[in-house]
Amino acid sequence: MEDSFIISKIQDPETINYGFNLLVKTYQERVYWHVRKMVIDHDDADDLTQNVFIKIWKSLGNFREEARLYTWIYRIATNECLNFLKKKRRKFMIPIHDVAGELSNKIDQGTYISGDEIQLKLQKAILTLPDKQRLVFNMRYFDELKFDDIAEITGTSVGALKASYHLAAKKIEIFLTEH
Amino acid sequence: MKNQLDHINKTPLPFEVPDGYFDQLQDKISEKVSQAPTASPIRFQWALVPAFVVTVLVCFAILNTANEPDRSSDLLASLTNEEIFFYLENTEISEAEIAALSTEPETLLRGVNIMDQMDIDEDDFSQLMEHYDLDDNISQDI
Repeated sequence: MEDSFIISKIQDPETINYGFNLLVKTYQERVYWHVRKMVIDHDDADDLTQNVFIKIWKSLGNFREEARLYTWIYRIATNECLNFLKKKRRKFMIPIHDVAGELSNKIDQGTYISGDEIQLKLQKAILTLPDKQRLVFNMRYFDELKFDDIAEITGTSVGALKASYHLAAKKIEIFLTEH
Repeated sequence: MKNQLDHINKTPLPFEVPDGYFDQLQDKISEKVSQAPTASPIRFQWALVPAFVVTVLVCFAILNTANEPDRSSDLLASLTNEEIFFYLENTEISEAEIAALSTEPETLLRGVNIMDQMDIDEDDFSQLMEHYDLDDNISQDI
């Protein structure tokens, strides 16, 4: 489904519901997997994905045509993930490493986890990164987004993103070698 | 060392979802969204209401404070006459300054030569008079 078609539908009050349904259908899987990679747990990812689309619905009036739909949606999903992880730390007063440890345990013992040993190890390696670096790595490595698009989503310069990705990849390689 | 990342299968991710999850997700979102209004221009104006209320309250508070009776008069009333006399005797204060505080300065300054207290020479005084065009004012008064 073309973004321009979805945008034309959500900007018309007569077809806004139809347009929104198209938007959900087109983007629900991408949003879910973007969120799931960040929070690991399916139930958390499910809640967050629904919240993301409710926020999108409430913000439809603020969407500007010059913005690209998918970067706008990614930005909302990204902020939702970061806020969720921040709240989690604040609520339980736990430092970064313990959240990473908790999420790592979910990879070992959680439900709806599959994959071979190296894939699981890669996920654990990614969890050792700070949240924002994790987001950048996921968007570049798994979703294969361009740095320009990631810059638009995160509001960070392309240069800083490239440096962040390079460092992340280096840390992950070291983790994979040592574990 | 970089080879490791390059040789891992990125997809599928090592995560699963319950059967038929994405078919139901759209329905769950639609159900929740039906209870939530969209962001319309009207909603945007409602979002400004708290800011507007705060602005009105702040203006009201400022105006109310401005209308309050001068607290300095309360303070002055709490002083004894002796304290006021002591202050006036020991402070260099001109008649003009006292007159400025009075509601009837003309009455207070009657018989007092203000020019004696002003450090101004005659040329400057003449220029000042020309500047204020005293004659015109006088003619208007007449």
